[in-house]
Amino acid sequence: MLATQPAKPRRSLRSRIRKARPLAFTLLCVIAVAMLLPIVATFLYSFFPKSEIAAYMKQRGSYDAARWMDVLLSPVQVSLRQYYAILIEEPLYLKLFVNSAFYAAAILVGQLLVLPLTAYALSRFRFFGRDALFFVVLALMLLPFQVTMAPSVMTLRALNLMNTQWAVILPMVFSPFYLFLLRQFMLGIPGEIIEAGQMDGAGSLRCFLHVMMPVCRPILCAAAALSFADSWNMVEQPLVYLTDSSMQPLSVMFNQISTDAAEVAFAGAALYLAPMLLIYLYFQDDILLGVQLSELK
Amino acid sequence: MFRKKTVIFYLLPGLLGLLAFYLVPFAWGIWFSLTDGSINNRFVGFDNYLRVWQNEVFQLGLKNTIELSLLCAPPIFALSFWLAGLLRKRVAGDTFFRNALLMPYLMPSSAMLIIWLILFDYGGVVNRLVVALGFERVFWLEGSALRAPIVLLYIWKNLGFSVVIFTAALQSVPESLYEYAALEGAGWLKREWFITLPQILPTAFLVLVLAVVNAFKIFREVYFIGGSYPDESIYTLQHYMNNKFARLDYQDVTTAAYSFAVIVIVLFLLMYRTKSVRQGNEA
Amino acid sequence: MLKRILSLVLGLTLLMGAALAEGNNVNLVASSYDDPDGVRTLAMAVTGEWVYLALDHMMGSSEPWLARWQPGMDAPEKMADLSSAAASDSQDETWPQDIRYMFADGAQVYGMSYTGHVTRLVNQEGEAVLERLYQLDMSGLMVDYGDYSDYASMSSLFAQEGKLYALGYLYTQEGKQKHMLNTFDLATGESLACVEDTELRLIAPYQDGQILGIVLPGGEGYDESTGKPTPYGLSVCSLDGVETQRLYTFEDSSGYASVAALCYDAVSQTGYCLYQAELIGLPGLTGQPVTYAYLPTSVYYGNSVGLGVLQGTVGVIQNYDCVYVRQLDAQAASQGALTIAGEYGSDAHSAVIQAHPEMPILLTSDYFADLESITTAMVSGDDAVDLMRLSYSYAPVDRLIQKGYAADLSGLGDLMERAQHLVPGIRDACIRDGKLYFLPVSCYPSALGYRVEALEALGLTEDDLPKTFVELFDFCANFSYDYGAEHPEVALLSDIGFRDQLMNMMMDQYIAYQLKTTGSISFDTELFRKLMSALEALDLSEWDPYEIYGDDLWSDADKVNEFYEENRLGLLVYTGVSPSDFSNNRYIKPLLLSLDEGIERIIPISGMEGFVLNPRSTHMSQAEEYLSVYLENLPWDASILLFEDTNDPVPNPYYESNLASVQQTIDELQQQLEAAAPENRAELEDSLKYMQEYLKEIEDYRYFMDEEDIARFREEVTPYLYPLPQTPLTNSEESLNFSQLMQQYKQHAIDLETYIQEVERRLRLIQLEGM
Repeated sequence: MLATQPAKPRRSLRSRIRKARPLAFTLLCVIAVAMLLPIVATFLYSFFPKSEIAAYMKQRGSYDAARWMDVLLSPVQVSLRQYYAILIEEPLYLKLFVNSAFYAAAILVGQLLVLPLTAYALSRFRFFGRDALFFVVLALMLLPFQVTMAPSVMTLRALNLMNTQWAVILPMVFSPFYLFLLRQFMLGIPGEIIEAGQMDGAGSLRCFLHVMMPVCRPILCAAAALSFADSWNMVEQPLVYLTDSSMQPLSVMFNQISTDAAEVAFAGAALYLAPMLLIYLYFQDDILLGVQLSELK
Repeated sequence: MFRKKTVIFYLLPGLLGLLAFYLVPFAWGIWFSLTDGSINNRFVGFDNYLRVWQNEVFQLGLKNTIELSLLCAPPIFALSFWLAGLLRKRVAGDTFFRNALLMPYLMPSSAMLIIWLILFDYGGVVNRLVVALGFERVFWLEGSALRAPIVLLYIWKNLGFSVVIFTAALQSVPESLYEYAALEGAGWLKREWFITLPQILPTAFLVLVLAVVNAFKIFREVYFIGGSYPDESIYTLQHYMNNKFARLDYQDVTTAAYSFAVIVIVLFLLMYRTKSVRQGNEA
Repeated sequence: MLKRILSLVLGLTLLMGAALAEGNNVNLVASSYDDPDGVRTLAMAVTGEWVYLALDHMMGSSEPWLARWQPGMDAPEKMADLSSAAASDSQDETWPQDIRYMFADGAQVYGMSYTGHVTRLVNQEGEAVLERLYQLDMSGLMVDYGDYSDYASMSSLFAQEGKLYALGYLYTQEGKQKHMLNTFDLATGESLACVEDTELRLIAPYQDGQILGIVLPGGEGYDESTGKPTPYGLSVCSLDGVETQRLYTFEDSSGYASVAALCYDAVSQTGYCLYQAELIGLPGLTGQPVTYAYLPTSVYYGNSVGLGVLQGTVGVIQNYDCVYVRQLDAQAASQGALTIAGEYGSDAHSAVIQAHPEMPILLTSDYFADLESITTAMVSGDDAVDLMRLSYSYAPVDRLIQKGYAADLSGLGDLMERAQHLVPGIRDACIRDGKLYFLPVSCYPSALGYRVEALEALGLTEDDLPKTFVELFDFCANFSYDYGAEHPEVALLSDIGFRDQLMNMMMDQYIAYQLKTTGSISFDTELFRKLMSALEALDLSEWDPYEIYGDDLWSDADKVNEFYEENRLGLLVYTGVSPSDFSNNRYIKPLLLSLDEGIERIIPISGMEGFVLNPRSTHMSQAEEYLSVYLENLPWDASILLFEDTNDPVPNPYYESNLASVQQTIDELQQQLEAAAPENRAELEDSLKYMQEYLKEIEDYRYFMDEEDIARFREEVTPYLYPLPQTPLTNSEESLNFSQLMQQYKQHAIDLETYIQEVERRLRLIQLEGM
């Protein structure tokens, strides 16, 4: 319904958009700062020497209404001592770090071997009970860990896997969330590509390997990056399934590092964040893609 | 589409795994919740459920979980929607902003906790801000005020995820519709409500669901801050389940868990139906 | 007719055989220290037909003697005295008196002292000879420290083909065990070979110029790959201790493999050893070991542990003072034994062993404290635990009962009837809804006490002492004001660290009070605040150096010594409230307090132990018998404390002998007095007077506990006893946090209100979640 000539001249939409930009920009800046501040602070404080950090930590917990905690922006003295302490002197940290890396890698490999196949079946094949199965997968995805925590322990015990690394790796390998992610993406791939492969005489397996997988590369990268993040940060599973503290990943042990050794804690935190940061920076676009694609169609 | 029987080979490993690690425990758990955990493990039907539902602490946990979810999900939904709107207007450096928003999602909570505790300390930065805005200082780390750092931690972590989803969805809304609406004299709010939301309804639904579900998973952060028995305002259902688990009361854990699961699934179905109805309406 | 006679004879033979078989489960030497006539073993040797024992009396100075035993005999028969006066040959007065070890060579038996002096005790014909032979060249078995020599303890000693093999061990300066294998010429005692630092731990004679040995490859240490201690191996070894064939490896799951003794029986061609609490054997020296008998207690490696086999079917075990004989019956043993956990060989247990040597009982050394391990141990199939001795306060007894893991004992024999006579507070804890779940056997409540001497010095009586904690704080605060001037020699406290003890006692009683009156624990009460702030306000720095120096005190030995050297007469002291503390105790008496005025006194018991029976046990009747005899043989103070119908005065078994010996001394002194020279008279008269006064004192000690004492105990203690169950504060999951909070409070890092808040929050949630 096109209107007749308006009475007052109206600025076009575009110029209004342009006008709103500085405001939007400022707001976004503020929010970005708020988002990044804790991360940056962690890295920053990891370079503070022990004395300054200790003194700073002491300021915590005071009930004195007249006192504020300082806002530390730069250290009087840059110190790498705590990195040294954590990497060389305290072999436990490295061991836990290696544990975390091991779990993340193992889970990734497992997922790569299993999930694409299953997602392929769920998306490209038609069979009895397919949708029901998918709905079940969806439901499983929604439930928090605690729901199956107790019976999972019993199951793992029955399989004799309790307190082994497999207890942590295997359930994560069969994660419904990534199955869901892959399946959605595969659904979105136009059928023509597959048909083209079929016409070339490829069976389903070859279609899978040579047609599907290359096309899925973006989602696979995204899923890999997200999965790595999940494994790197997992806490509940190791706490419950592993009683042996030497097998725990770093994420769990972290909260047991005391605030007495705060500077070491910061250094540890920085080192712990570092892989995630690197992964993120490298896989940025893929991650964005993956996130976007977890849409329910 | 393939119809071959070879589907079974593709399905098998995944199916076995899902069965062993998800479906079997799920079913077994239901059995657990219907027995009494004694040396003879008698079948007791719904006795456990009745007992657990009447337990004060279970009710507290449930209430807190729901309240916390309500405190977390709507703000995230609204904030991310708004931010996505801002980003959609192609301001300078929008990739940078998107990245900045997304980064917290990948960061592990336990490492962030130290900083968080410093920020929300009585003499910390947040209180400085509060005072600067003219309010009184708050003991964030005690009592019912504990909810604020927790909720803020949650929002900080999960905002990026939702924003990116919304951005992608918003980009699929044709520009012309907005121009149309502007010419019709529609204000911002009207535009969003009548144009944007219906167009991106599936996405909005997803974001809401994820927000709620992730809110349930807030346990991890709360556990790190408050331990197994934190202040009553943040004692969630997961605390109840975790503590019972530690005391080997598997019956109570599963009873509480399945009660919760039922609630979640019902919620999910409700939301799904609303969405379908709305979608149906639009069509 | 003939048939009848035959069947009768057959029947009788079978009966006799059965009787004999029964008779082959004998506790040969197993006296308790309470028995004034008790006998103990010094050494043992087993030939194929006889067990030879060196015995002496536990009490009093008696001379050791040699005895022997064979299945079918009632008791060991004495053969000869072993004192040096009875030895033939040699006027050597430096020959040591002790027979520390014995070993056999065919039918001959030798004895050896700590220093390596060898005596032939029994000759080829089986007669006691007591022939001093020689001293071994001990250079390989000792360490010379200059002013004294440390001789090795022998773990194995035997003779084979004219040679004497001795495996001994010593502790090095660093505290490590060092094992040496020495070979001697049996005829001369000359050292033939010496292997220092051998891997062997035990050896036994075998055949064909070989010996059996228990080896520990690499010595004490841990297996790198598994993180467990290196397992012991049973092997055939050459005569110089080199392992030639590994027969079996003892994989030990509890991390403490203990093979205590080893022997080989040529008749049955089986190698036997004592492993933890079982006598196991390897028939034909191949395959897996089989259990042949169960030992009354766990036996551990040492220098007075031995094993022998008689007539191929009877095992003889020496465990330090005791010697047991057990029929070796693998068939019967395969039926399993009454498995008991948490019991380590108390007197009551020994009484059961004495009464029923034929009952197979296995004491596991595994330790169960939490719900998971206890329940797992009960359902773990063949070696499930039947009886568990648990602490009522530190094990989850309530939850076990709830979940049905504690059998109802009310149907078993007269246990329920006995339990009805338990003291009320304890009875309520054990009998619920008419069912008996927990059978208590020991508890040692503790309390504050006072020194009688100090009280008298102050000129006070019992009535002047405080009756409640609140009064006690006042008393302490005003002590130096009230008594300091007139009685400077009396101090308020006798020990360091009084505040801690006081706080623990007070909290125990407070928790008991809460549980008794409200059924749950809350610290958010006026009473708690009143008590804790009163304690906080109490200044003990005048009396207790810990108040001033804190934990630093313990690293400063001088300050600690200073306190004790002052040797002041302290009034208040930490003591127990068991019957023995109420008996003729003229030195320290318990000071029983209630929390505050108007509140009844409670005597909390934290540490009551008792038995719980596995409802799925397959040895129910044996368990019943065990518990019955056990209860009948509780030590007298446990009996009096736990049961309200044990009111007989407890006589002192040494009264008669003490009386006699003092009387004898008096008579002797009187005789001496009559015959003495005037200058010695005064001294003798003094001694006589002293002894006569002592005679009077002995009368006082006629009873450990007389009727008056028991009546007073029943009045002041019995109605107030309350066993503390496991609480959230001692429950393992959160208890760490609770103790941390307590530490913070004690170190003044947090104040009382904060402590109460934090603890209350957790307590409330835990209790509401549902214990």
